[in-house]
Amino acid sequence: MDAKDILGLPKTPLPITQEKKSRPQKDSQRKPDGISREVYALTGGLAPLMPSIDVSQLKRRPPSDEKITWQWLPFTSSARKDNLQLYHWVRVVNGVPPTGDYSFAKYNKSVDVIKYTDEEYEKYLTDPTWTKEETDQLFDLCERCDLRFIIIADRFPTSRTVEELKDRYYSVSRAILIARAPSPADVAGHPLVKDPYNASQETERKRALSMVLSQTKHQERKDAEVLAEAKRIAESRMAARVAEEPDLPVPSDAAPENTEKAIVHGDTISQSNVQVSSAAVAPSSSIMPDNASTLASLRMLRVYLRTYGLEQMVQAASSSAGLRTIKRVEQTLQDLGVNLKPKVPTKAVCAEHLELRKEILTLLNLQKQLQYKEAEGSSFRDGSYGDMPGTPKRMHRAADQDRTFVPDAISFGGDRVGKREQKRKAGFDYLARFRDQTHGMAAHIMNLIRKKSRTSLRSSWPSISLSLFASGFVLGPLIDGLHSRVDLVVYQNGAINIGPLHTNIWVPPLLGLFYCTVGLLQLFLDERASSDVPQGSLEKAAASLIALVLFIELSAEMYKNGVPDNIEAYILFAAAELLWFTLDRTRLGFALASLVGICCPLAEIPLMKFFNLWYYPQANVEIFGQGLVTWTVTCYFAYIPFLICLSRWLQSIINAADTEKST
Amino acid sequence: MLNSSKRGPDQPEISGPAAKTQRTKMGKPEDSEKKKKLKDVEISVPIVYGNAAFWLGKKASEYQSHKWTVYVRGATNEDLGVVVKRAVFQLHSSFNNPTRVVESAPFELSESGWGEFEIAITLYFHSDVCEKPLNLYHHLKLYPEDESGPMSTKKPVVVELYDEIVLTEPSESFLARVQNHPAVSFPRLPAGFTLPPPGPFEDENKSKRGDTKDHPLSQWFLNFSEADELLQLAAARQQVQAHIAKLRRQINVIDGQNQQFKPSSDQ
Repeated sequence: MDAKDILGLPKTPLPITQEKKSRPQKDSQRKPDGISREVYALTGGLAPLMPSIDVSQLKRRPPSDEKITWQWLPFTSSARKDNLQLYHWVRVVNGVPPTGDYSFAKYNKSVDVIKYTDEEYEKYLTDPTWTKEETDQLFDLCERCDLRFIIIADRFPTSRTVEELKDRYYSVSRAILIARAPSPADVAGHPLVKDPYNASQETERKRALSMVLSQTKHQERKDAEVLAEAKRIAESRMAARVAEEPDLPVPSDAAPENTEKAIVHGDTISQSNVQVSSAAVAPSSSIMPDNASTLASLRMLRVYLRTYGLEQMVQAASSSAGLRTIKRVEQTLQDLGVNLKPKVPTKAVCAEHLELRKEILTLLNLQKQLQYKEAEGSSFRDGSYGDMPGTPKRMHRAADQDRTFVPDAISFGGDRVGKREQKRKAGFDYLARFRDQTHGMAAHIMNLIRKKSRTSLRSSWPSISLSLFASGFVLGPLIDGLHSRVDLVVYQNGAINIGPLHTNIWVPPLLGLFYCTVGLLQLFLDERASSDVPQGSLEKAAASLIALVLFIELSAEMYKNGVPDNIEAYILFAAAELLWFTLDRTRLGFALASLVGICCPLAEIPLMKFFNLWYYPQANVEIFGQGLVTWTVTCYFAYIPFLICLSRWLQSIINAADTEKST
Repeated sequence: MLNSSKRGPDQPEISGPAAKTQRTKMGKPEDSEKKKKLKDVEISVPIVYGNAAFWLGKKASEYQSHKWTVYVRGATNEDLGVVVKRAVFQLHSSFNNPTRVVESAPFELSESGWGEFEIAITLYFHSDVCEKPLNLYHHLKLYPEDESGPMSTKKPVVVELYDEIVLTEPSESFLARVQNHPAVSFPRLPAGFTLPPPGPFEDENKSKRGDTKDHPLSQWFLNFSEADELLQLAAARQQVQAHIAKLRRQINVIDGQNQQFKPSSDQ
């Protein structure tokens, strides 16, 4: 404002008042009363020039004082020239029928066909090919048929083409117009005078149209090729000679005449171009992205080798694919036992080869599509975890995925999922109970492990965990029985004796949990592994089980026979390393085994201290006030190769069962 | 209005879609009949090219250890002279006159040497066949694949490659000439098209036969049958198509499932 003062500019009152004026106008247009904004928008929104709906009429009800009846009454129509009496239903208001002409009579329009007199005919309209009779008949028919020339041609007594009839009609009308006009200038603007009817052009046009309509597929293809080639030539010519090249007819319309012209031009140009280069080497043109244009360019070569032609077609077909896809196609061809370059390249063989390549491309695309769809599906189901399942073997599972362990997660509907929910509930109860009951380090560690497996195996396999738990439930106490048999460990609270087996009722679930946790952790690590993971096999699982049992038995026997603890420890350490070396041999496995070997004995401490589930009579080390046997570390260590093999084997079984179910 | 009005006076009347295929070049009217080409027709001449090399055994010297012959023959041993006017073999520069021209069928060249190199073969066609030459490249092979086996002077090392010369837009005179010739695989002509009858066969009474049916090397020639390859390809295609169908089914299933689960996730 101060600046304006300094500059001496007037403070602009005018535009502001204008704005104020325009705004209320707009406001009234913006939201009409009587209907909601959305409904108004349906009609086309703001302000057409002529509002299509009368807004005030929209909510009006018929006034209640009127009495409305419907009666079957006769009516007359001004469109009818005969005296036919017709009846219809009429809306009668208060006993007064509506007046006025039949409402549709105004639509009975007819054409003003020019009427000429005989003198005019003699003077202006004679034509060698038309007699007066015929002309009269024509005009009569024109009037009766409202200038619908197809019908007129059909009814015309002598056979004349539509174009001839039109020609005669329009030229007569034109001549009469010009003759009757006071001066030629008056009618110069009349369309009949300005653009006279051209019969030959019309015939040509219709012939061209019918040819286009009746093109066979073969013709269409060839036309497409030619057009592409012509376009290419036109573009290269434009690029080469910027000067006043007479424009090649733009081949956008498919009229055959134009394409003929373009081809002739194209022939001469390509002749001179291609004669320079040798035939077998590709001319300067780059790889044709289009099949049709490849064919066209091959044809331009006049002579080429079939193998060269096949190469070009293959390149054209796979131009849209990346290098990796091409490699995959070739790999697939080799797997199928097909030569990458056919040994006997006849026309049929080359065609088949090309088709096969295209089909393989389709196959690869479909595979990719499937992967995306499954990823989509899993991301829909597992909300917060957005990443795609990584390994291909998971793809099969995606179809019947389930949620993760989290018991308090969102539930979604669907009967399919409900049944599985129920099955899992049983397993979950145990897990839930033990999660509450174990505290301290053990709980923390186990939670950590389980959380890890939860986040990674989110799309995962409760069936695997269930089977691991079950095997732990059953096998664990049996193997543990080998130790309790020699009184390495004595059970206290909850101890039971099942025949010769001295165990504890908490042992099966605890060991089930142990198996489950370690197994899932291993599978999670497998998934994240960069190198190949060995397939789970029954033989390996059985072998590792036997090895584990032998190890435990060895440790038990040595204990029973009073081998000194340190010597036993050395032996068992060595044996555990050997076990790992023969069964696993991976660094990751070693790390996992060491971790478990250290954590699990420590985890036993709370169970012994707070629950008094068991104790070691001949402990040789004291940690946190509890006596432990040092070489139990090696027993846990030795457990891991077995658990690795077991979990992999269970996974492979369950995967196989699921793919069978889903396909 | 039509370009067809530029046609020469003595060309046969052809109606229908075939009329579109007749193109006349913008040349002199007397050339127009000879140069009339058919755009829908494609002629292919199956050929086999390669070499046979004999080890000279005792007579081998350091620079002349093998006697080899490089050739281009018809796939069924027919005479290629009806199509090919002459063949030019471009040898390694260490040979005398490395450009060897062979004016008549059988198109072959024999030499002796010790080295393997690439030979460029240029085929020149008769004027009514094609004005442009065609190049083939063949790597001369003297030594057998498995080097452990003993080399024999009786059994040559033979490498042959099958290919087909494709001639697009053949001229009518060429078509007429080779109508019934066995060396050329004659295509189906567009409907309603008739050829004038072939002229007298010029090569009948020539002393030298152009075909390789009784060629001294013919016992070593390989047979190329497209049947095996076709079978292989058909089997492969079937497999791929089955895969595709399976994948499509799977995709449909998943689409259905996605539809079901989509509305229930509230993100």
